[in-house]
Amino acid sequence: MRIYSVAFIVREAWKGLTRARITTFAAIGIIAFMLVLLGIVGYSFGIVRNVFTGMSGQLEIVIYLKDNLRPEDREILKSKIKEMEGVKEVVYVSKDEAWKRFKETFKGNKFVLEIMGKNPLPDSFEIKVEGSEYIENLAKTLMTLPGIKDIDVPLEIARRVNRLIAWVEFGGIVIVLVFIVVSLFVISNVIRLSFVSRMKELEIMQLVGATNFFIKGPFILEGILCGFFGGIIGTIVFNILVFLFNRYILSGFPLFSGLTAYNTINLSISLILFGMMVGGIGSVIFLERHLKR
Amino acid sequence: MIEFRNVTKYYDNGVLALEDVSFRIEKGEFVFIVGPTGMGKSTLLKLIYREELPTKGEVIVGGVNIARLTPHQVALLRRRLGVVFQDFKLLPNKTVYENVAFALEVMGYSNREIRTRVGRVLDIVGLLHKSNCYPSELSGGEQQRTSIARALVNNPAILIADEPTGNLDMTTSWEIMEFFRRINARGTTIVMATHNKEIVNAMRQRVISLYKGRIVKDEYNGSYE
Repeated sequence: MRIYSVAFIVREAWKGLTRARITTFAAIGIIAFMLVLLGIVGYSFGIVRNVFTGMSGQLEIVIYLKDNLRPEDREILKSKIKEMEGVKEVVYVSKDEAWKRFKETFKGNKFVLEIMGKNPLPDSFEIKVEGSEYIENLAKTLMTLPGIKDIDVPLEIARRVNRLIAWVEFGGIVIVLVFIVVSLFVISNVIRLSFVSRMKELEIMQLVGATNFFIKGPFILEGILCGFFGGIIGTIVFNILVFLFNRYILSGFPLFSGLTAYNTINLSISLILFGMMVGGIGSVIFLERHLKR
Repeated sequence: MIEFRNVTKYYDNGVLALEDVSFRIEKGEFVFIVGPTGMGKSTLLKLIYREELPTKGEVIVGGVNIARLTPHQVALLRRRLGVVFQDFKLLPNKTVYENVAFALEVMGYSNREIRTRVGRVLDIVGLLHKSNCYPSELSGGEQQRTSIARALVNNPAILIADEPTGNLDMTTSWEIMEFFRRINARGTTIVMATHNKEIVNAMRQRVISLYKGRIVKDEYNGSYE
């Protein structure tokens, strides 16, 4: 394409944006608003998901070691486990350490301590996992290792958490999809509104023999620009909201801190790109409906 | 240049606009399409610039059947035609200069080329001094001259005019017709729909009369009763 043609399309798109200020502002404002809502939906979904995965990351498998295991073998075993998929951390708990913790737990309960007598507890490894989805397979592999007396796996909890996460993900995706469809609909109608006044322009362009590239180019570019500016504004508002939320609301729940530090950069970029995409698609829908050929 | 072969046109709502219409227009002719309102004049013109397609029959413009054109070829066809309307169809937010330049911009002309061509054609229609006026600041005749300038700026082989004098007073109408005569003298084929009897009778050109979608008369040196 010749440079004049590109220049023409950019110029016409810009004129279109700046000429009908009110409709342009309305379009950009509504796009921004829809994107903020979409951002909030996405963000909430992200937080919920983080809470659950954080929860699942707190599950641990405990394996009890045979009493006669030599310290060298124990170290080998530990490094072996560390290399397994999904293992976050392996902590050795000696039988003395375990006994100390036990006594601490039942400090007020002389009866229990008396029954137990002297330390009956074995040495053990506490294995923290990356997520609950690893637990089942890990347990199977761990059981085949030598030197292990017994294993304690939170299998039922892991399964439940896995199911919960799957539902949250499914629900989140459904909600986000519904939202995307709704915003697509709203935004393409807003774009249409700002173009309707320019039907005459379309007619004249066709009349003087403009090719589709020339007719559609400025409109599509204008839609994309609307989406871009709406995206920028929406993203700024969205990030301010997230900041306020983290600062004033979430900080009241120290339990969640760390779990919910959710990065908004990816989400922000997605919002801007989505705005541009929807702006472009909105223009294309308008043109397909109104261009007679 | 233009040929209709047994053209019939029904609109989607079932209205019959043209019925079995056949004629030929040669290069350089000046043809009036006359008849009362709603008798198919506009439809006939729309078929020439392929705003509409025939239901039956063939429309040949510049050697090609308009029914067999891709959208891109339609655009190229229209560049060889200039079209003028009763309501001028100017863009209200563009100046006279910009309205005319617009037709060249969409064809991808360079800025320098656009400046010389637009300047030349505005000089021809006598509007050079109003280049920077908006359509709302012009009289009806000046607006029509602007739209004629836009139609002529790409040196079209055919000029199509649909009631170009319909909104103009008699003096201005004669002015416009004087233009058409000069343009025609330079070799441009002109097809003009009108129901202005005085003009048709005074111009002494070929006249095709339509009544209820049929050609009822086709005379050279004709008149309109």
